Amino acid sequence: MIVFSGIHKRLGGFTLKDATFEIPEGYICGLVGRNGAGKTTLLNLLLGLLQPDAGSLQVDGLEYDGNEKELRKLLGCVLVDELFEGRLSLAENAAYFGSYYEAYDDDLYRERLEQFRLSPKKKFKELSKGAKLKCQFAFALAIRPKYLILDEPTANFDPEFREAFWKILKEFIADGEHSVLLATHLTEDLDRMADYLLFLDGGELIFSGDMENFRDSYRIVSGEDYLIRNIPEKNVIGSEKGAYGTKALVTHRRSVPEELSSVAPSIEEFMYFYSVGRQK
Amino acid sequence: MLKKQWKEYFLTGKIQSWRPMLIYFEIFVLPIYIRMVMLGKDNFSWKGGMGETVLMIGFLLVAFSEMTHPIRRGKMYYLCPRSREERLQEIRDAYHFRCMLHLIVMSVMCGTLYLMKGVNVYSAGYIFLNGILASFLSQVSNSNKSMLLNLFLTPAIVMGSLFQFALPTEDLQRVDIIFLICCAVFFVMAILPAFWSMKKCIDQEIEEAAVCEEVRDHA
Repeated sequence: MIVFSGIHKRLGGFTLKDATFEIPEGYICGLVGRNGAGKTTLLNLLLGLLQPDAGSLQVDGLEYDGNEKELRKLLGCVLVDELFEGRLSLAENAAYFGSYYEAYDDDLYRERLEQFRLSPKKKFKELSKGAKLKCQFAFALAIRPKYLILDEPTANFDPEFREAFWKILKEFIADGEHSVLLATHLTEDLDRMADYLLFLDGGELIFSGDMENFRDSYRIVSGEDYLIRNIPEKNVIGSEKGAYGTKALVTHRRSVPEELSSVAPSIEEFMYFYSVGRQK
Repeated sequence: MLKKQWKEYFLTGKIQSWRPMLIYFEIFVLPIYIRMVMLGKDNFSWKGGMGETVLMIGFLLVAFSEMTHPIRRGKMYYLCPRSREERLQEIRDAYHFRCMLHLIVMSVMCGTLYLMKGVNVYSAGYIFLNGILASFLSQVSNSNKSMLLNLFLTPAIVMGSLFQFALPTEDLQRVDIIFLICCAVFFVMAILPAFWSMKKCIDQEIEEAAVCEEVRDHA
């Protein structure tokens, strides 16, 4: 289990405030938020590339301080940065970095490269952005980690590969012992696939919980403007008046008048209305 | 162990910065070129010229090696399962291996110069001293210590190079006791503190390189 307790991190003018959440095993956890919300900071903290100013971070009970080596064995990652050596081939890169991992499986790496239609002989620098991410994804799987940490990989994947990508993630967590933490802007996929959601805004963790809880906690209501104005203000997160009525994101489903239509929000709708409400 | 270092040296090199090349050109290669020009038409020999060229190539090879192999590693290395102590050891070993390679190159180049041009042993000694300094230099982060190193080391090496002009190239009879005392004073006053300053700076750089840059910068 990944546990963040009161993590606080200041970076220049940005502060990640009191991040507290738990990601259990067997989940695909979506990490969403606008640009600059703190997603990458949170991932960098988890990967030990940043140190928290306050709070504690544990992965299966291990902390970086004193257990760094053991902890890193549990994590596989795909980051936007090009992690591999550009002038080496995909096979050479994996042989070099794989030598640091006891569990590295070269056959699995080559199998995945073949599946992703990448030649192990090709130099890393010659690959397109999406292919580089696929290669890093293949390596992240080949080290057989317990947790996969993925920072915005899907935006660079073609639609065909994106389906394969989600299938692999589902297989990865299927035994109930592995988890995925995926930061992305493509929330449609998360609506379908994610089991758990972390929503960050301005360095604050606004929502953390499973998707069922998310769908139960919030509603998108639409209808006549006066009906929406009747909902207690504290329950309205954000609303927008349109040509044919008003739409709002509300917290408490029981506060919604029956005359209004009410549906569970998508992650994108949630993010949008949250931002609208904040601006007001 | 050596095999692993050798493999790693050739696998991981990539151009990180052109700064070492500029520094080497300024403080090592340029004085050699000036000396060749100052020898003039009458004293110039093709054999000597080739020896000097070989030496210049040696310095440039070492500069290229330092350009492509800074002490600090790429981000992926810091994501691999390693304790801080293991990283420290690996980074220190890699630095020592690189210094050893540089020393071999500089020894061969200085030896070639000595044999081809017939510079006297004092001159060759000073040139080799510069070669040793060049071999141990490395790209360091822009800390105050590295500034101190550059400020201190650059004039020391330039002065060392200028001394080479004053040294007789063939006639050992012209070396008198005053000149040798001057050399010894220069060595104690400039070269030794430069070595000490460089050692401290490199040690600091190795210590810092054991931790990922982002962790260190934001700590």
